[in-house]
Amino acid sequence: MLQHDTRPRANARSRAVEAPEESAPAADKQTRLGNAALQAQIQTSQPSPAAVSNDELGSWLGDDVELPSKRGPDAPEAATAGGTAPVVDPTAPMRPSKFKRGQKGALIGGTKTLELAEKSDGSGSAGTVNDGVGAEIIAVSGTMLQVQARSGDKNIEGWIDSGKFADEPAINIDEDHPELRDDYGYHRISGDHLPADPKTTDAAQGYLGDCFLVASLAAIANASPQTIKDAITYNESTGTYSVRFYEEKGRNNFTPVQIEVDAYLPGKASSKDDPAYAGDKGGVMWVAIAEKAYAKWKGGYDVIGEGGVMADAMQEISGVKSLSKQPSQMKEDEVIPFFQQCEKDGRAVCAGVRDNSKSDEQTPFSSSGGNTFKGHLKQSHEWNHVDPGTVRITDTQGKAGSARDVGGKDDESGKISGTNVDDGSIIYKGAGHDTIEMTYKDGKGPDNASDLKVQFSYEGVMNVQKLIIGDHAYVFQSVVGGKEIQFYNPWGSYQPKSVTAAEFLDLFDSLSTNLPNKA
Amino acid sequence: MSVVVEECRVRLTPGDDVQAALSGGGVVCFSAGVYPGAFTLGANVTLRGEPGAVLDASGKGSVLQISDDDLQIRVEGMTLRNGHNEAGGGLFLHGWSDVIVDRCVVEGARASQAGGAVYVSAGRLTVTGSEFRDNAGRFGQDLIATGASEVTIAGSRFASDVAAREGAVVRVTDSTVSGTLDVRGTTTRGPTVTIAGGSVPRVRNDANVPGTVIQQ
Repeated sequence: MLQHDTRPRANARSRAVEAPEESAPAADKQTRLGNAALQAQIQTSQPSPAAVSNDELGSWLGDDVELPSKRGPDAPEAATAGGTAPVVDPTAPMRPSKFKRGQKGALIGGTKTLELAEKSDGSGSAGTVNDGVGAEIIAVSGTMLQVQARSGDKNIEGWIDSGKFADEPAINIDEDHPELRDDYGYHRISGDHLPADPKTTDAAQGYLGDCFLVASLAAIANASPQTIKDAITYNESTGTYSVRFYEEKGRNNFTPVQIEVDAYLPGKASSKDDPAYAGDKGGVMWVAIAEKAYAKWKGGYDVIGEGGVMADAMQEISGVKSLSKQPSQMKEDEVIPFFQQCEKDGRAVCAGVRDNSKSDEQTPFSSSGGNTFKGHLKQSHEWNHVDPGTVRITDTQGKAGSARDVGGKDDESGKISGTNVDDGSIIYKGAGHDTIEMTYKDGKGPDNASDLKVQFSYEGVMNVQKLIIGDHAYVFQSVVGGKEIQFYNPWGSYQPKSVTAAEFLDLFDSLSTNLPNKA
Repeated sequence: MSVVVEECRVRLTPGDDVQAALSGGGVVCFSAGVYPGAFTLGANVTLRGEPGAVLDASGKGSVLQISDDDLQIRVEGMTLRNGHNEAGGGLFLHGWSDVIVDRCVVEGARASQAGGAVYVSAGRLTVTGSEFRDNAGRFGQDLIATGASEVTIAGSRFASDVAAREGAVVRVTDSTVSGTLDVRGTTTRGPTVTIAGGSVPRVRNDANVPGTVIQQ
């Protein structure tokens, strides 16, 4: 694997920028959740604290510090009596040979908890963290690392021996959404988790918004199981996996990249054998291994949890250029033949569902007298919620005019605004969600509450009967009966019913295919 | 030096078949007005808009999508509006082609994943004198350059974020990025971003998987 210091440096005329600290823009928080947020709604796990806050750290790049290579929970690499081949513990996590500020990994010591020292000489106590917790290096001094790691509901800083810092991808966090906070730590899964018989239904996405990747892995497995089998190899002596991806460097130029990962996966302390992200307890784990390697390559689970593009992910797995197509440009009678041809060619196909739909017109308002009207918006599914800023209220008789909501993606509630509205509010989330209350100016309200019609856009389940979830990637499986298309939900659950060509065109807004080389 | 402006091969007015005109290549001129639809560009073509010429995808796909290689595409004086895709609601460039966006507005675009307005993962994109506003995506709301793409930006304004990923080469000259210019590589390569003039006050270079940022 190339190290960062092999990259081009600024020339003499120029200066390398010391990038200032930035926090994530607030405007995209809601969309950033994607389907991970929906999963959070439907799973019963309790919220728990996140690991490490990336945004709290600066991006100053320190020089790499090279330390003796270590392997094992707490000990320097051992050597045989003859001083030749090192003895490697295959149950131990991978340890980096270089350390630098900003580097992310995990603290794995083989004990239940780890103590962080207050000072670089190991003295004092800065606190205790769970074994396996995600960590970020903020300083290096000799063989000691100052790290930031999660302890309970807060981040703490302290010093620890570099031998306990493991080379693991950063764990995903979301400080703004407590339902997605976690105390996930790395735990070793035992056994050989190679893809013996990879197939679409192996995919089981977890608490991470990387449906694009899990769907892509499942689609390639459907089209070419051998591509998946060839991509993942296991080294029994080291207990590590090597996963092959491809980097597109130019036209018809895909270069293989090997990413090595150990057998540790993030999971809750209370259920160590149930991966937090891809993979289910007791199920096949090759998707989890591939996901981990992808995360390591791209900079962390937190990075791939931000989302990605199916066309890119599929070609990174297969080494063959993906093709993209716009469903909106397809005619209805072209849809089924297109998927039949994909099936015949052995193409991997992923499709993305649009992120919102417009509600039907509703008349939810009632008045207890006076100028105040109150109503509750009806959602077609319990997971659905209003897309803030899309609510439109009109008086069908014209007297009260029109009104609209004013709110942002992250807002719990918003205002109702209109020329004749004196005051109004809408609750988007939490207790009383989807409730609108507004008071019209004297003499400006509607004659009857039933004159007020409301329409809005919603996010969530786009088609309740077919269980097609918005803002989500699906894997094409087959054409059913020559007239409907069966997709697979990479969650591994909540599988949709087959859709007609018309439903496909109504629901899906992106489509990518890949034709892996058959070995 | 004289500039040769090619004549319009076809002049469209609202209601005409835009996709058919674009598929024919050459210079396609757009009179003022709104042209609904999401379009795929598969031929060498110039889209030349009169003031007020708008391509509106109405949330049903990328306004312009280019997946083929070896194309020469030029978009002049157009507004690309209300595109939605998993990436690049305004412009999705996935093929090894050369695309020039000159004096355009990209607005109201959304991506369910990355790059609300523009997503470039291959080929070469040049953006001059253009404006990006009211676009949304999980990251890189106005533009993402990734893969081994090359993006040159000059005299343009971005109301939100611009992102450089993977091994992209991005040059930003005399432009304003009101959001963050977000730089992040992988463990095997990093983007190279050069900033010359303009106003790009917030640059974030990922410490874990950095790129190279050069300010001239």
